[in-house]
Amino acid sequence: MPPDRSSQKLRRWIDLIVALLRRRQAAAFDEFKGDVPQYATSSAAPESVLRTFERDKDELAAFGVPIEVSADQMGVRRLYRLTPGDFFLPYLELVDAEQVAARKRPRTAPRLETLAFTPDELDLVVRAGRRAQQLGDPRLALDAANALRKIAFDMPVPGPDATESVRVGPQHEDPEILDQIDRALRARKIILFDYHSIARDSHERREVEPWGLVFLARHWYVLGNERAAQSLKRFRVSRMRDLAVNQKAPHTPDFAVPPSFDISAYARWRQAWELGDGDTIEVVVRFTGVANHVAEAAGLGLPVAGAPADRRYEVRNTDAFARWLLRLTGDACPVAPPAFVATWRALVERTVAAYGGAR
Amino acid sequence: MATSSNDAAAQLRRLLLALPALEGDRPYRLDEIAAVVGESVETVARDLRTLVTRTGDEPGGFFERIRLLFDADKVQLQANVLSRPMGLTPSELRAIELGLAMLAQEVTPEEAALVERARARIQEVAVAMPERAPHLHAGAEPDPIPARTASFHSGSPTPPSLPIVREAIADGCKAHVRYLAADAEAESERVVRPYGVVFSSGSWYLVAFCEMREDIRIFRLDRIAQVTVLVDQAAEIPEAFSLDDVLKHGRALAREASDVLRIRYAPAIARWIAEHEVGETEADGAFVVNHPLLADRWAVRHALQYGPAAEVLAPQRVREAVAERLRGVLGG
Repeated sequence: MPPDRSSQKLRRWIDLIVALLRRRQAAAFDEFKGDVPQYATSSAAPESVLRTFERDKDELAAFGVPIEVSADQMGVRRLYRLTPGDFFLPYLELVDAEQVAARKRPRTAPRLETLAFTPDELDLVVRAGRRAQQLGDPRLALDAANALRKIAFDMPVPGPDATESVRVGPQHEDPEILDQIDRALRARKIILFDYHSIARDSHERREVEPWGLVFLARHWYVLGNERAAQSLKRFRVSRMRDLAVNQKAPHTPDFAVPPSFDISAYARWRQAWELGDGDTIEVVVRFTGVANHVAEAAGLGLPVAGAPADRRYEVRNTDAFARWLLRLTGDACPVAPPAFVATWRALVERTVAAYGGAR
Repeated sequence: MATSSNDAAAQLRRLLLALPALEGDRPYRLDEIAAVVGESVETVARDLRTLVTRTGDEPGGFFERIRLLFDADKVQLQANVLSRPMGLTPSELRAIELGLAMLAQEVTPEEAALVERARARIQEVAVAMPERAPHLHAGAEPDPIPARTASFHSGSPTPPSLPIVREAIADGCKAHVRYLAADAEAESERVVRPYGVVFSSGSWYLVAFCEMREDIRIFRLDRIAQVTVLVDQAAEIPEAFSLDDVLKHGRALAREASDVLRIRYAPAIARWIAEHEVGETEADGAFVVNHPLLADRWAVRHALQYGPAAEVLAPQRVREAVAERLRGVLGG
C-alpha cells in the first residue's frame, strides 16, 4: 500500500524544520536536502524536488513557521534559515510586577529568552483567549485554545471561568466557512457565494473582495467590495451558502484594500432605521411616558430647542422607524413632519385592524 | 491548502504540542500528553505513530535518529530536538489579540493600559515572522491591515458597571446597586451577592442573589445606574449554583416563565424570525412561536414592534392589552 500523501508531507515538514533548526547559518537547498530523506532519496528530477521543497516552505510559512529567505553572493534569494529564537516559544515566567525589570535572562538547550508575565497580564491573556473561543468560529476557537496550551507549558492557565458566560450561538451550519473566508482575507482573494438577501427574500450569487471580518453583537459579517455594484457592503456570514474562493493565480492577490479603509468605523451597530441608501429625513417625536425603556428610546434622539419633551431623529428607513415607534405606543408619538405622522398613523390603524379593528 | 496539506497542518499543530510534552527522555502516560494537546488519547497516539511508521521504501528521516517507544498506555521519546513548543503562530496571536481588543472595551480607562501591556507581552511570545515577501510566502498575510475585529456593542458602549461587577465577583464581595428596571419610573436600591455575568441576546447581565427579593435576580448591566463594591461584606457563591441554570432557551431568565406568549408572525417577516427563534411554519408561510412570558408589558412592546405583521394569539389578556394600547392612540 503506498504511503498516504498527508503522512508523507507531515514527516517531510518535520524533517525540514529539524534540518533547518540544526543549522546555525543560512543554507542553500542543496546543502540541507540530504538531511530530509524524502528529498535526498527522491527519484524525481532535481527541479521537481526543488519545487516540492518550495511548496513545503510556502505551506510551512502559511502555518506560521518563520523560515527566513536571504540572498546569496550572487544576489539570488535562495538561502534559507530557521532560527531557534524565532521559532520556539520563549521561556515564560510568572512574576510580581516589581520583578519585571529583570525579566530577560538567557537559558540553554535551546537557548531562548525568558519572558516574564505579571499575574494581571496573564489573567488578561487567558480571558482574551477564552473570549475568542466563545465567538462561534471553530478556527478562531482552535487558535485561541492552542495559544493557551502553549502558554500553559510554563505558566498556570486556569480552566474556564464559572462566573462568566458568553452565549452567541452557532454561526453557520458549515463550520469551515469562516476558515475559508479567513484565508481569502489574508491572501486577498475574491470570494463567491450565494447570498440570501433577507429583505428581498432572494438568493443571488455575489462576487466580493473581502476587506474585513467583523463580529458584531451576535453575528459575523464580511465587509467587502461587491464587484458588480462596486460598493462597500456588509454580508452576514450565516446567510451565505456555497462559498468559493477564487482559485486563479493562488499566490497573487486579486485586489488591494484601500489604505483609507478603517475596519473599526464599520464595526458599529446601527438601528434598522439608520440603514439604507436613501436620503435622511428628520422626525420629531414627543415623549409622554417616563418608564426606563421610554427614556432609553428618547436617549437615541437629539434634543429639540424649546421643546423638552421632544426629540429629533435622523431617519433613513421610515417604515422601520414607524415600527420602532409602535412599540412605544402610548408613551411616544411622532409630531413632524406630517407625511411621516400619516405613515405612522396608517401603521397603527392596520395593526388595530389585525386585532379586530377599532371599537 | 489542499486536503492533504490541511490534514498534515492539523497533525503538525498537534505534534508541535505533543513532542515538547515528551521532553526529558522519560516515559509519559498517553493521557497526560493528550491533555496537553487537548485531543483524545487515540488521536495523539495516531499522530505519534504517523511519525515513525514508514511504508515501502520511505526513508526514516529525523525520526530514524530518535526512538519513540510505545508501552501499553505510555510513550517515551529519546533525543528530542523539538523539546520546546513553537511560539504562537500569527493566527494564534491574532486570536488572543482579538480577545484583548474586546476586553479593552470592557475595562476601566485605568485598566486599558494593562490591556495594552498584555498585548505587547503576548506579541513577544509569537514566532518572529521574517519580513513579508509575498512571492516567497504564499498564503501569508500580504499586508498589515487588521482583517478582523469584534465587538459586543449593540448600540451603546459597554456598560461601565461591567468592570465593577467583575471586581465584586473576583473579590467575593456584596455590591450595592441602583437599578432602573425596564418598566420602572424610579430607581430601586438593592444589596446583591453577585454570582456571575452573562452575555446573551446582545446584552450583558449580572446574575446575583438579591437580598431585597431574597431570590436570584438578573440585572441588565446597562440599566444599573450605579454599583458599589461593599468591600467589607463577603458574598459566597453557592457550590450548587451554575450560570447554565439561568440560561434558558438561549436567554438569561431568572426563573422559568409561568406563561407562554404565542405569536403568529406573518409570512412577510417569518424568515427574519426563523433566523433566531424556534417555531412552526404554517401552510401560508407564517411562523408561530411560543415565547416564554415573564411580564405582560414586555409582551405588548414585543408584539407591537412588528406592527400588523405580528399577532398575539395567546394569552388573551395580552392580545387585549395590545389592542387597547393601539385604540388609545386612535382616540377610540
